[in-house]
Amino acid sequence: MTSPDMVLVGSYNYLLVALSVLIAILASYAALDLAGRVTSAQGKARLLWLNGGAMAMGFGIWSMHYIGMLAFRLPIPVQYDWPTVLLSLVAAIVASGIALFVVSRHKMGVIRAVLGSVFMGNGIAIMHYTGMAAMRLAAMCSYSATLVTLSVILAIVISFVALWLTFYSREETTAWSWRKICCALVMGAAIPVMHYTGMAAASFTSSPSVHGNRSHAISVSSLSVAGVTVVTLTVLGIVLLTSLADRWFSLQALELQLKDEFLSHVSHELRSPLSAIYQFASILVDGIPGELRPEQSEYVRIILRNVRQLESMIADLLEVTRIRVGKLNIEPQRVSLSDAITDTLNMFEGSLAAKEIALFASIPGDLPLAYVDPSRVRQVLINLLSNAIKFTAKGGKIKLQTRIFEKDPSLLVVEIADTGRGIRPEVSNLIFERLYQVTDPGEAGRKGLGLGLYISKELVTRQGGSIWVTSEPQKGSSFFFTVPLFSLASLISPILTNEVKPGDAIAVMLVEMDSQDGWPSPDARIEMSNVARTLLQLCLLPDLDVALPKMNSGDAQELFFVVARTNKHGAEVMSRRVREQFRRCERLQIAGLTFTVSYSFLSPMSRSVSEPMGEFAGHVAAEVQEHINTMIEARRVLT
Amino acid sequence: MSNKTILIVDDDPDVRLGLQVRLKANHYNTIFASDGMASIAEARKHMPDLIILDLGLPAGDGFSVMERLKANDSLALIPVIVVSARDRSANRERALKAGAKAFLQKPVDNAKLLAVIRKALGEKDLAPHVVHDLGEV
Repeated sequence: MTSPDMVLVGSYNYLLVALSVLIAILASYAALDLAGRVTSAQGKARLLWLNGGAMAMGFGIWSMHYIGMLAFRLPIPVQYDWPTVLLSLVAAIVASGIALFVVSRHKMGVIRAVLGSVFMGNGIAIMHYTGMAAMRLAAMCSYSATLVTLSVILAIVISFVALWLTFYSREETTAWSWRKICCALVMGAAIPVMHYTGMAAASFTSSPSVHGNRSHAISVSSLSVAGVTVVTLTVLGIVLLTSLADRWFSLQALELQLKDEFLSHVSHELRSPLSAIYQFASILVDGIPGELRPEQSEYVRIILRNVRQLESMIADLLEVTRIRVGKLNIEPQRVSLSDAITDTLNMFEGSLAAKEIALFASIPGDLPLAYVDPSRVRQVLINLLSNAIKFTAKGGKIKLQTRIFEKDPSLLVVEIADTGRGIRPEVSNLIFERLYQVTDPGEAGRKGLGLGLYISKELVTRQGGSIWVTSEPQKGSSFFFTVPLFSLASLISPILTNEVKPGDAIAVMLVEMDSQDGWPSPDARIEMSNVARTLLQLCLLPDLDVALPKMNSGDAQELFFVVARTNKHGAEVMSRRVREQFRRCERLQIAGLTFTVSYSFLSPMSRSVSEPMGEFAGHVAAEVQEHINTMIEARRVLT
Repeated sequence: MSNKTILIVDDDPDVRLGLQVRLKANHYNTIFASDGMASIAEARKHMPDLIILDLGLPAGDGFSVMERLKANDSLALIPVIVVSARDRSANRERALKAGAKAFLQKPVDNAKLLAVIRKALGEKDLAPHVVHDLGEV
């Protein structure tokens, strides 16, 4: 029994002290690891790592501190006020958050490090003394000012060292290293130094009359010590494992990126010598240095043919790199699929004749327009047709058909059927995978890179279609791919479903681009048209306006249409914005281009409650189309 | 018969020779430079009628060469055709913006190259079907 007003002599449970040091080291290690993750993460992931990291680290520091407090035994029972305990946890988390934020910046000067450590050190001190204030015991607690000051200074100094160490070892790419472990040991040992100095600063004088507010006080049993320890170790363990996994995945991503960069670099470098081979072989074939004998000429032609093959392989490799890094450029337009097909078929006349393959193409004249990037569709057609020719024996047949897709009338389907060797059913999906090759090309000769179908699949799916094959071994294969039909309704429906302000109507804006002194070249015309389109996009409000693709094929590169959901005032503002934007563009001025902007409103229409959205969009689209036709017609009459 | 002079700028001697042989056969005079700096010096000295320009060059790449040509009043009007091994999709737009008349990817098709040259020099075209295709060059 203790007598009143006696200084209480505390003692330490060294097992718990050791446990607290261990937790401190582990928390430090987690902190070092987290700093690296926060640094390498971007955007949302960064915020997630910062928050999660601050919580785990704060929890670790706090738990070290609490186990340290519990290691301190007084001869009288001690209880803890849990709201205050929670408050001290918050202080630890905030301090850790600040620390992680500071060390994860790209630069950390002395001033920033000092500021960071002042915040972090004070945060730890606040946590510590708030924790002490949570103690409820029949004793007066007094502090030695010198030791308190010392503990705060220690907290700041230790924080500084910790920040500095963390900042300079965070870039370690491996999950663990001796350097990191040493840092963790130093930091982990230093944090308890601050803590136990703070503990030494307090002396307790027994005073049975003092109880403090015990309404929220709880006593701490050895079971709860074990609980805190287990929870802490689990939290830190999870953090370290997550960090390990994250590191592993980001390393993989980096490797992939390096591989793609390497691929891209190699492909470029290959082109230069290839270019020289092509040049000189073609110089020989063309007889510039003197006529070749027929046999010689034939051999040089073989060289040229192989150069072309290599060239297309390099192009494929580059295309795959673009797909992988997400730089594949697809610009859908309102185009005639039949035109794209006819263009492509013309390219194959020679190779079809060489193998005496008969090609039957059936393309209905009234095929609706598609909404695709024509050059990308041509690429797919070229891939499929060259495969068909490659795998069809001499004298075989190839059939090409196109029609509205039976299973989904919003798509067009193209079918290319050959009389080749066919594809075994078990590989009919595999052939669209990257680097898949037929194991036995047979008569077809060379294997090639096996990228053509993979590229085709990417091109088709990115335009909203799909690609597949059906086949009968020894009889032939049919490749199918679908492309979306052009639908004005689906293009403009986003602005129709949008919340409508009273008085809003559908406006059609027309921007006409004219060249005063004629177009210098077709290239210049395409280029200026692209510039104008980009400018126009800048003026539009997402969800309210939509720029239509080229609305009539052929010569009207310089007509741009915008459909907008707006009122008279809004349309006025928009056309002013467009005029201003075009007026300010130097490149268009230099090219001597003039612009006229006009707009008109469709007859007012509103959707009745019973009308389905699709039907409504269809009606609006029909009216927009009619409007545009009138505008184009009016323009034709003028010129 | 054309007696126009074309400056070939490429750091690869084989490519230079190949182009020279091809252009000579089509009655063009050729002069050479193998880097960015030299190309400007040669252009100043000889005032060529046209420049065939590679993009990846030592001592100032093709883009900076075009920039410097543009900045010089007497050189600004010389038409430039870019012939490069670099990726078409990433560089064509940029080259045209920088002032090139056309972007051709190596290995460049001879018929296309000659058509582009004739067009840039304002000469009468001998192969109209090729020119029709220039938008795709």
